[in-house]
Amino acid sequence: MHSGPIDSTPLAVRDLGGSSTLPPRRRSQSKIGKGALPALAFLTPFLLLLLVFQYIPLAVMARSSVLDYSLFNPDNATFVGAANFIRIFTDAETIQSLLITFAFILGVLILVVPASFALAVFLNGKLPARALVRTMIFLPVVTSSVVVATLWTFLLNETGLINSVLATVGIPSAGFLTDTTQALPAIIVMTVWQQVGLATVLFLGGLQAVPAELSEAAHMDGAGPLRRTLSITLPLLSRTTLFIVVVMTVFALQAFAPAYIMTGGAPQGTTNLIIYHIYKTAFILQQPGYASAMALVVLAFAIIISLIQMRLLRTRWNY
Amino acid sequence: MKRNIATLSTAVGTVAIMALAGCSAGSTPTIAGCEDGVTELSVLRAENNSPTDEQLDAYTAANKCVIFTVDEVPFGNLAAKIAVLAPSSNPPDIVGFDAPSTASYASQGFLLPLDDYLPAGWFDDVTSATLTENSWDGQVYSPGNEQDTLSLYFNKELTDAAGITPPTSLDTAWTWPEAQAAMLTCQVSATEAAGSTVYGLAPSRLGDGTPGTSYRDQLFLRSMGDPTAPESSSAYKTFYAISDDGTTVDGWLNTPEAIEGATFYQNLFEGPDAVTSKTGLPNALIDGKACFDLEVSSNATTLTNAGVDFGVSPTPYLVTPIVHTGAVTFGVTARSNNAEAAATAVVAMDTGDQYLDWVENNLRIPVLVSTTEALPSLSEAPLNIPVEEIQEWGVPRPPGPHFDAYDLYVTAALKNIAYGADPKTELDQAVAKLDPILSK
Repeated sequence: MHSGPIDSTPLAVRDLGGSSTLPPRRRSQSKIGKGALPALAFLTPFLLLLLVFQYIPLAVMARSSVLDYSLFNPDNATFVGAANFIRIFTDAETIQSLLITFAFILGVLILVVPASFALAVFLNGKLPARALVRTMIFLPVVTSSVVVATLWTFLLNETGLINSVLATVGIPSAGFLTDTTQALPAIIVMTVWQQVGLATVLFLGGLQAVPAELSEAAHMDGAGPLRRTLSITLPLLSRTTLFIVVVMTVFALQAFAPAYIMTGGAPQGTTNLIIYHIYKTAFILQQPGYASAMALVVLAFAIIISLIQMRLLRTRWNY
Repeated sequence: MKRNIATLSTAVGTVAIMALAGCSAGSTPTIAGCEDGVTELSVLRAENNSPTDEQLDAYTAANKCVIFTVDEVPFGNLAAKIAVLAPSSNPPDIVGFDAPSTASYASQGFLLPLDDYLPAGWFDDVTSATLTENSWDGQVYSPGNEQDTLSLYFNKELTDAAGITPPTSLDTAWTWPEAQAAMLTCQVSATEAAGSTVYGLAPSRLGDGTPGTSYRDQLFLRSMGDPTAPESSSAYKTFYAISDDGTTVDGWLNTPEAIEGATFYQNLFEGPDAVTSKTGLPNALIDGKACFDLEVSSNATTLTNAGVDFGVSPTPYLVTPIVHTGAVTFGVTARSNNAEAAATAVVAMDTGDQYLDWVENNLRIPVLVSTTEALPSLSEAPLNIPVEEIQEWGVPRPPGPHFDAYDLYVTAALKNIAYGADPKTELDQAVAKLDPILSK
């Protein structure tokens, strides 16, 4: 522990200070300057790409959001002020799409977080074929969303594999993708299947970083496995949990393939996820201004939701 | 310092090379005999659609100083790709597109009118459905490459086993209740024989492979109308499904007749007389998983190649026989830097000897009456049925500058109806969403 004023002079400078002719500050700046040039050289291409493909489009989108025009005639754009933003909250189709998307996010989170934690605990044990199981769980993560959506369409169709299995045990065919009560749960399950591997690997990393002595001490004090999980493991994994919740929220908010490939937003708009709705508005209905306004609102929602989650799940423990 | 400069030079050099590689355009090749230079026309088309390599190569063979560079996308992404490229500084010279979108593209200044390039007598030779579909505001934007429509294909092995003889001429065409009864009979018979589900009518393969495509399923609504009824009547409006000026669908798309047609359509998917599936089943007719299939004319070639013993029957109807026309066509972009050469090429590929050869070699239905008459195969099975349907029953899908929006909402409504939603509610909702767009 420090008991007096902290010496802020860099260690390297202090070590060499006696034989140096330059003042310490000057030498430090020179060192930074030496490293800055190559760093800048290597960062510049990436920063340029980021600027060109991220921030400039974002600025263009912000500009578009206050205009009314068609993609064919951008020169004929008219300024409409906040009309596109007001329309978002008065258009029944968009409101439904936003609510459906929030339900989708909630469903994904409710299933992904506990399932991935359970899988991580399972994989953290000394089990045979652990590497194989880990690969199997992670494989859907690196599979194209389009491939996954197509695969699940064949599984969930009226004549698909799942209905065929149900039929063999006498259960009538289910409208997984055509029934208003089943379509959203069906695409939630598909998304969970695809994303649970990533969350599992993240939880696994967190579990392996939890100090073993804490759990051992609790065990010595008589705490059972459930108690140790609830009182030690889960609190210590709160940073990992927060990260998973934020990442999964953003993934779910960006989901496009399930609506585009599997359902087309049907039945009755119950799978009309907001990104698919934005796509239709921009490219089919030819209303890019309104679509841009929706995209900005979605971006704002993503930031707000993430901030709320970070606030609610902020950690009180460090290790 | 030298090391820093070397590092910086490497990074800057890499970026410069990448930029140059990205920006450099391929130079136009030189061809002997082309003293005035070679014209390179860029083409955007949907995969497996016109203008095909065969058409482009044939044009280059006859005009060696014109060559083509082709960019193609899946059909489902074509409209979005066109929308993105339209305002760019370098749009394609020739663009393939779905013919019903002509009015939409033309009204927004994307396409070049081709009237001045069409040969003498073309207007008298082209089929009326094609002329309507490919025109906007009195001008023609594509000569049209082929026509297409739906017919009722049937697996003869299954229909014979069920004791069903489908009609094979337009004047004996089934009504939909007659067709549904035959499909149900065949479905029961074939399912019993196979020991697994065989559908009376194959699930739709059109669009995204689920029910609802306006090309196929809006026929159930429009067929309830009557084009010969007084213009103010509900029957007349039901048939046309959009107001004459294209500004409203209220009272046209949601008439009592249209709702009745939609209710019949729903019964194909639900209830005791259901004869088809709500979800896709590719190749159902080929695989013996369906007795009948409503398909486009290219299905005849597919079935022939698959060795299926099949027949073709006219599309059934409810009150008025009707089929939707329309196929992929191609035109010239208004801002093409080679508009003259592109327009000349497009018209040459769609008229004259080159067109006749292409239609004959590919078993397509032509847009020109003279070409149809020159090819005896078009008056024989299996193509005689779709050819006659186009000539006698064919109408375009409701054309207008907002066709894409119309198609989107009508398809969504029909899909929901197929899935069990209330027909009136769905059609009213489609009207409520469409009218503000159409009236703009």
